[in-house]
Amino acid sequence: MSIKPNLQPRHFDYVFGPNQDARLASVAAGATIEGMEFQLDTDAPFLLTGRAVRLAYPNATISQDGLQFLKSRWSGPVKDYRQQTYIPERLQMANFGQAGLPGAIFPPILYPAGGTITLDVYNAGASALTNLSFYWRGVKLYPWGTVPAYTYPSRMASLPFSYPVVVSALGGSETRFSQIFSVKQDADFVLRGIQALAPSYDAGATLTVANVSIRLRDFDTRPYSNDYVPLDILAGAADWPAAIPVGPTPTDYPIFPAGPAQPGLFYPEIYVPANHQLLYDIQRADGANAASDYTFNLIGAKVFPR
Amino acid sequence: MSFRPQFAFPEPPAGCEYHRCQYAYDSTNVPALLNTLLSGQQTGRIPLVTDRDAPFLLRAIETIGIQPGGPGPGSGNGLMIRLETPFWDPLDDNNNTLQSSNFEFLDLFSESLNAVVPVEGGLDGVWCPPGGAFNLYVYNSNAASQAPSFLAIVLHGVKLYRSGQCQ
Repeated sequence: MSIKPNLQPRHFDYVFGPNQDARLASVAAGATIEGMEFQLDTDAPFLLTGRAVRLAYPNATISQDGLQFLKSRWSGPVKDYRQQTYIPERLQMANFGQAGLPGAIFPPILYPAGGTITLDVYNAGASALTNLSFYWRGVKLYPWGTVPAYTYPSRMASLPFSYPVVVSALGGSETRFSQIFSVKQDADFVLRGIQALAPSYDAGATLTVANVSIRLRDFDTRPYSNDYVPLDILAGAADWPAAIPVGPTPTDYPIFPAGPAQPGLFYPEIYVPANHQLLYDIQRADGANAASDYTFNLIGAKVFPR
Repeated sequence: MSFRPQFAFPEPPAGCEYHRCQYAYDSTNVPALLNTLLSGQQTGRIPLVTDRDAPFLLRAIETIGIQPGGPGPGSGNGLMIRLETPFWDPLDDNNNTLQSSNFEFLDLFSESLNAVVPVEGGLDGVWCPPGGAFNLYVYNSNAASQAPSFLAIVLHGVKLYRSGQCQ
């Protein structure tokens, strides 16, 4: 017996970065920015279940040094701050919620359609934080029938399956719109998780491939995020680079247990029938670096109707 | 079928028992892994044979193949694999024109540094009949030739014994 919720949940990620508030492009050392209001979309309520925070990687280094000094406080839907005072982000979640391992928000917080998240940040470090972004992860809630709601057939068999998606020769500062991911004709595919190549800097080739983001859409072009979401937020990979700063000096550590054993999840899962498509826009922001192939892995299962 | 937690598998059928089982394969018992692959070359079908005493249900995969310290795709060594069930069903995409999209990088598919990667799909796991063989294909996407001699793969799962008798 299945229990059908009153509203249809649909995976959604909100990005709150320099594109949403220019003050996040550079947060000066010792600076406090209060009262940043981030308005959510008006099409559906949003249930916040996870968070992450990230600094864009500079060229020729995989470093987020300074992030360990970031403190924040943020509110629920009625400017009800969920912290008594500023709390270091490193104490609010492990690994700043990156590599597909968001910091959990439990119980989840429900924001009405068009609701507002109020965010205050304080940079307690000695250097400016450049291109700081916050990620609010969860589900939108729609009346049933409003958005695609494909689901399993009444009788079925399933097989674990992954689709590697290879993006060929993605330029250092390139955006590709409306790329198509097609499910093969032999079976439906339920998308449950994602993995992607870890941020990297190849000193020998002087090649940085570190700031790659996507915006996933369904076949109606309805997005699953309000902006590009970095793949190192959505997804992880084994052998993650030492990119998490710890301590005042700091020492950088890799993210454990990033990898396919703990993949970045799409919740709820996204059911794509055979021969149907998902769309994605992909963007790389690595400046003047050379083009490079990039791969991400869509993880889930094939579903065979019986 | 809605999302379920990992490892939440049902009880075995009546009169049967699940016994935990792991199959490990590396160059000592899979000599094909000692062969050098040119850049862009793949192996043929490498059978990973299981025991004949009982069916095996695959529930997790673990590979050891990432060379530490390498930057870039696949952590520097560019080794990619594809696994197929004993019934020749691939566990990842294939039959694509772009060869590299027919295989998986280890760190995106099967390797998690001392952790096993659950295989989420079938109700009980991926079925392998007694004496059956999973099929492994290895592809070298690196610019240089290499032999995947350092690659090890462990198939984690359970054997299904009937009437509780172990052989």
